[in-house]
Amino acid sequence: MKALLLKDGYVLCKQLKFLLLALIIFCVMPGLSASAFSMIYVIMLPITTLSYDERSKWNQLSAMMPYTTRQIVVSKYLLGYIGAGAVALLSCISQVIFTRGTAEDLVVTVLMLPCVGAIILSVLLPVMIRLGTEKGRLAYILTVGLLAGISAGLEPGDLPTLQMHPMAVFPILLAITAVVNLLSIRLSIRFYEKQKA
Amino acid sequence: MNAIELKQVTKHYPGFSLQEVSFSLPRGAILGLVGENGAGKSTLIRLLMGATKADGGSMTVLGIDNQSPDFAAVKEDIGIVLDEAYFPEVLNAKQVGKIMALTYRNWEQPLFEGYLKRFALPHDKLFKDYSRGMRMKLAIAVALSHKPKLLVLDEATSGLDPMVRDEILDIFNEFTREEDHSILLSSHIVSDLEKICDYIAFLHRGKLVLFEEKDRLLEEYAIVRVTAQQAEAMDPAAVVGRRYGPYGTEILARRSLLPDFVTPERTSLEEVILFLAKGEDAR
Repeated sequence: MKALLLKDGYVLCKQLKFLLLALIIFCVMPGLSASAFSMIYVIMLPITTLSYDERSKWNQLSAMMPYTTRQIVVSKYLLGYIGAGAVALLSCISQVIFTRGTAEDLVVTVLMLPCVGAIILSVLLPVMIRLGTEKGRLAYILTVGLLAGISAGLEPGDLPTLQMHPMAVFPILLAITAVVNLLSIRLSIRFYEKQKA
Repeated sequence: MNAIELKQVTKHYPGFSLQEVSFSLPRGAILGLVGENGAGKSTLIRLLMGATKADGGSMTVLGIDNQSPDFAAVKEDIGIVLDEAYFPEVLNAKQVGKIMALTYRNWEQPLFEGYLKRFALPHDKLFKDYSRGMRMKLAIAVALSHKPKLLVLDEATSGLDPMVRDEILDIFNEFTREEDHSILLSSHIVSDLEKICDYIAFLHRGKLVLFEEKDRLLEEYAIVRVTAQQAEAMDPAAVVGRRYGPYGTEILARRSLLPDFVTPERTSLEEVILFLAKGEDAR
């Protein structure tokens, strides 16, 4: 697993170093929307590595190395979680130092944004693994568009949870995130295994 | 004990089938898997390594069924080189070494460094800037640096210049000096296989046409050129295959059953293979 994460880390650092720099800048920019943008971007990174794997046919080689399907799949999720955690941390530091955001902003940044990121990841990765990254990108655009559309159309009174304090919403969101991700990992492993048939 | 054992392995794809392939590779030996492009060599290697599931049959590698959960551990003892399936192109040899050190329990960094030096592979050059020969050399360096007992090489010498090919074949020969080291080498370059292999398996359109010890193959078979009348007079048991041409009939025959009136010509492995591949069509 460490080997796979290191491999993806090298690939991302080499291929996307300027974009990673832009990501860090977005993280430290004031305001929650910049953090949200960074989160959506960082969640794409595991998918980017999938596409590099496809291009070099690393999938074929790794299937013959001592990695299990579970390790290969879970490493992509872990990469996403690590990225989401890093974005949350950077955004939080930025809010404390530069913008003196409210405690509520901090809670949303640190606790809720990574959960939303992980949910998006859990929707996208099985689709990407099943369809391949070329066709899967369309699913990505649709998912992000749908989420953006829903959030833009919502008023604070529309959902009872939106009127609740973020700390009260967090446990519900965390539970949803955990369940959705566990199901997603199982589905991704099944899709990855299906490619062997 | 066999390093590899295949029994009735079958795989169907639309437009192509691998049909009931059975053979075994004894430990300490080199098996050449030969066949035209699309004969099923790469498919067979994917099946053997558990990267694709077979529709039927069974396979054991180093004594373990390749469908068993224990097979993941067996992969530690297998060095793999694939044709056109590489490390991500933005990596360099140094990074590949670090990744492999976390992949294989038996990884030996000094051994890897030694191969990089021997192959004159730069540490910092990106994989995408490597020539095909360099890519293959790096893959071979990785395959050999975790002390494998079995090398599985898919077209590892194709597309390389003769000097590099010779150098690589020497390394494979060195590898099999240890008596429990074995190699499965797939190639469509029969001359390479003739140089180093102990056994030859010939796949043609998904079927195993021939599996034989190389020396026995060359001792046993010969191509003879005869007239139509001579061909008719030959013992049918002596004739493995025949091909009709404008100047007579070419026959792939068993040397031991050849009649006195024909003189066998010096026959290379490549000729036998080509005859089997083409002769089958001519019959």
